[in-house]
Amino acid sequence: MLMKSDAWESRAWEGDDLPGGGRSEANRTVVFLMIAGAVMLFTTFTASYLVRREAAGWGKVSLPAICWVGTAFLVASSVTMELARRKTASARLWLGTTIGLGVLFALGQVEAWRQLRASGVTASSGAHSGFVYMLTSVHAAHLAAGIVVLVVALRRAGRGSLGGCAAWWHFTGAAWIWVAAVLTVF
Amino acid sequence: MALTHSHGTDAAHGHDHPSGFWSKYIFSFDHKVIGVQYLILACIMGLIGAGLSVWFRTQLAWPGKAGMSPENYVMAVTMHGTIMIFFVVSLSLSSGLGNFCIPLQIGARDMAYPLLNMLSFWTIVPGAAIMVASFFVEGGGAAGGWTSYPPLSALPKAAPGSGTGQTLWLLAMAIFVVSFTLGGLNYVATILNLRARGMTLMRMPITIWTYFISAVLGLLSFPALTAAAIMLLLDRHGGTSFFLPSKLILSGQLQTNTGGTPLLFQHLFWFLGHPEVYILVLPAVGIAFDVLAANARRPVMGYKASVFALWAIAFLGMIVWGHHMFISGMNPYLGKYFSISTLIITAPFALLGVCLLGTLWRARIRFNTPMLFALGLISAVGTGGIGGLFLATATADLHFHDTYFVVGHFHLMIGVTSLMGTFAGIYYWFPKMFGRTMNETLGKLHFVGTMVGTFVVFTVQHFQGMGGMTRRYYEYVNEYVKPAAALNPLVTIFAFIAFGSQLIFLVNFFWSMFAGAKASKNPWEATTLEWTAESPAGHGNWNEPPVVRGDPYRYGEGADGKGWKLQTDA
Amino acid sequence: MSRRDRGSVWRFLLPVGFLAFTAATVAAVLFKDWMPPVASEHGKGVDGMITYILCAAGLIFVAGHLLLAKFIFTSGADDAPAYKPIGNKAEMLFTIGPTIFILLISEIGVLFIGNPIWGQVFKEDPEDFQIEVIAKQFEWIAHYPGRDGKFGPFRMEKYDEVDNIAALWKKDKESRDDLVVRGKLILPAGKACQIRIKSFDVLHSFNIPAFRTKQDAVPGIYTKTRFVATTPGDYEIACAEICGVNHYKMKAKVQVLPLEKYMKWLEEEPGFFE
Repeated sequence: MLMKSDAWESRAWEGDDLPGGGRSEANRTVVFLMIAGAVMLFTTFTASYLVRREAAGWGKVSLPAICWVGTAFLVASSVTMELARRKTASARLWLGTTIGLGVLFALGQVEAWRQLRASGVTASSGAHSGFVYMLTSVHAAHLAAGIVVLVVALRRAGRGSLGGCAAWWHFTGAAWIWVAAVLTVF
Repeated sequence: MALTHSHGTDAAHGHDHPSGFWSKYIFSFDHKVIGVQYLILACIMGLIGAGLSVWFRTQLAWPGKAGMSPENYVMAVTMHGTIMIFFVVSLSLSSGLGNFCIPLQIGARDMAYPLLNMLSFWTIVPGAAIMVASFFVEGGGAAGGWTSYPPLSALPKAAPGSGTGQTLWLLAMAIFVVSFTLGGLNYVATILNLRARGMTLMRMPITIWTYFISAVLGLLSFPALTAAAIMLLLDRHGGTSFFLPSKLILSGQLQTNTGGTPLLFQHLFWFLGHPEVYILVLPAVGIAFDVLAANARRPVMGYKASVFALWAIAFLGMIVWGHHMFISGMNPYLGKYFSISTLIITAPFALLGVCLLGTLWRARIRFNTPMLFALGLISAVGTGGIGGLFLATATADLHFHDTYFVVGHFHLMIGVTSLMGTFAGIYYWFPKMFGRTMNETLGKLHFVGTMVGTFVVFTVQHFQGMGGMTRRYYEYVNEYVKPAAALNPLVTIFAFIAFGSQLIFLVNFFWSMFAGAKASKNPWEATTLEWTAESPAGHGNWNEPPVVRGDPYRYGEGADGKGWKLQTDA
Repeated sequence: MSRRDRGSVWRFLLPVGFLAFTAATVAAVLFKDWMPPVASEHGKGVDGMITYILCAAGLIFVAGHLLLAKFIFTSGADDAPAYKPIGNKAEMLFTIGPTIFILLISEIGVLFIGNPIWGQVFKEDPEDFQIEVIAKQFEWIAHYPGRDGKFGPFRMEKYDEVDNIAALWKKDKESRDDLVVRGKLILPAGKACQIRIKSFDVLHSFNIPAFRTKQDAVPGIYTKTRFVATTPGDYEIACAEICGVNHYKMKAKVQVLPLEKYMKWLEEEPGFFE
């Protein structure tokens, strides 16, 4: 993916008939591993959250309403992502929509942080608010990575499979629901 | 920056020859060049890390004679641990030799993502630079132990190095994690997807299995350290209280944090920390298997059993982290659980040990330098592993925890075992790296010095630990510990021997690179795939794709009286 | 590479080296008592557990090195007959056998010898003497509940390096008769002591090597450990968790008194605010 070597590929060496499927399969492997690693990261944060909430100074805050609007955007973007993956003809359109929805969600997050700040909730004002800022930021970083990947995919749309991008995008959506649920329920 | 490559279409060779010094040696995409770059970086960091140990060993043997203050001492032990684990052993064994031998042993032209591979290396370089630079900031480098437990590491007032030094430490570690994770992704993708025709999973050399397993372990366990580091950073600079409890008093002043739990950091740290041990030890064992088989002229005993044992160790390794925390204040029932689960690991480890030993059964040993290191590794991993039996038992840990018994044990495992594996690998693959062999006389001198030096140092440290000698002490002022501490000069003298022999290695390594004897394609008469490539192998490794037709260790086969067969032979 | 390896010095040197290392290690275990003399009840159990592992592990250590030395010494020359596989069944036996053996001896040790003693260290019994140990950079402070048997609560705001090292408050009635001793822990012989450990700043570890007692002091929570000191005399606390620059100087005296003397001392010592 990252380096094209015409001299090598012309020999049809690292093609699809290798026992491991060759370079095209490698992208899938990498996306799968990245999701596994990210799941471990969010699991660690969740475990820390559950341990920390037993102790003093928890000070639970609730997420601003705009976060739930953002959730709707993310769910919708998963649908458009899936459309982009399946309908190669209009893939660019659906990819663009997905990116747009993702950016809308990110803007919503920025607004949510602004509202929290305005109401006096900062990372250091309580343990729960620390987790709120940290978990939403870590999620935002994963989402930003997803947006970058989608923009790259948009530029080369029509060539190659969107499976890896879609898997990562669905994962960021699921991770958001996970994060929001942890922050709200527990 | 020469990121673009000119792709030669030279029909005779078919290799891609990167033109120019920069793209060939500095920003190269070639996994072999990147592997050697990692090795050289590890050599530089190793001089610093081991140099620190010489400094504080002098202080321990002859207190006050090393020009070292207590501030210097805690910083030196902290930075020695960090640099040796993350910037020497990880970089040389995991990143260096891993990069070099994975594509060669599975029959791939390069890593799955050569650009990413180069970026991994050039990410770690600033990380190493930042780690070294932290010595020179105000208050000196981090001084809270390589484990950097909060509150010590979280409150700048708690220790001199807990100011800027600790921040830079965290930054350098973050960079390391990024680089190592990218490297791990590349390893797994390469091993899973780019194997040559005929190279089924169960035909891979054990070295490849160990790199595969340790990469998977790293990808699953490093996120825990990432999370811990983010929270520690927020505690230090964001005013949060994840790890900082209420009402601490430092230098007579009440702190403002509320309700944090220091034990949480320890759990997260060791959730990475314990698998990290296996990340460092398993590839060394894997390399030993390859070297043993080639120089004992027989297949490894129990290939399938070994692969199974490696997976079992990896899985169990992720559920036993609490044995580092028996006396940390963790629930005592967990202490019982972690004792039991940890001791289960003795089973797969015993299996590995038996297979290592069994490979020597009825062998026809060739005593060359790589083989000597592989044989030394068997003793080191056995001796170190046996020390683990004591530490895995919560009851015995009441006496041994944080004494020199622990120091001796983990140095034998992640110090001696890992480096013996690394050295075996370097001497073994050097012909493939540079087309020359390393000097055997210097190599054997290096082996004797390393073996005698390290074994005396770390075995004696076990006994000092039995005497209750606590670690990270600048000077031993307690009465009860005087008999054990009396051995310190002896330990230090042998530490000097061990350090001195590494200098022999460095001389040998760089001298042989340019002036070693020319090596043939397969100087060890070994069977695995890398020995079918040229020495040194060009960019792209082979002219024609190799096709694998058999198991990795085909010694004792072959009807033509040769007694061995390449993996590509029919 | 070289085909003259049969005569290689290493065929002698390596086995001799491994055997010398094994012999020296075994001799060091057999002929010298490395552990500090034990002075607590559970400490004898800890030593028993360590002895058990020494025997079991020692056996594996010696057997492994003997085999290693033998295989190296008896290895054939390059022109010796080629290796013949030993067969799957034999290979299974040789690999699975030792594995199960080592698993059994280690798990039996921890289940039947180790864990019961571990339980003793964390037992809670209202009859035990209650003593509190406070750790701070870089000293140990003993805190006794006094006649009322109750510890005064901590008032961290009242902390003073000179006058109020234990952060107690005069107006708490539990605090008035409490005893506070800096740098010295006075204990009764032959009676179980429940030690509750508190840290004021960073992690420390309450370590009395002669008692085989070690328990981290963790800020924010109390940690507990329990022991019965057997022999009157002087011992030492040495901090066992890195706690800053003067970690190595963080020590305190442990004075074990016969029970009557201890009771007398408790009676006569004036309370912190008396």
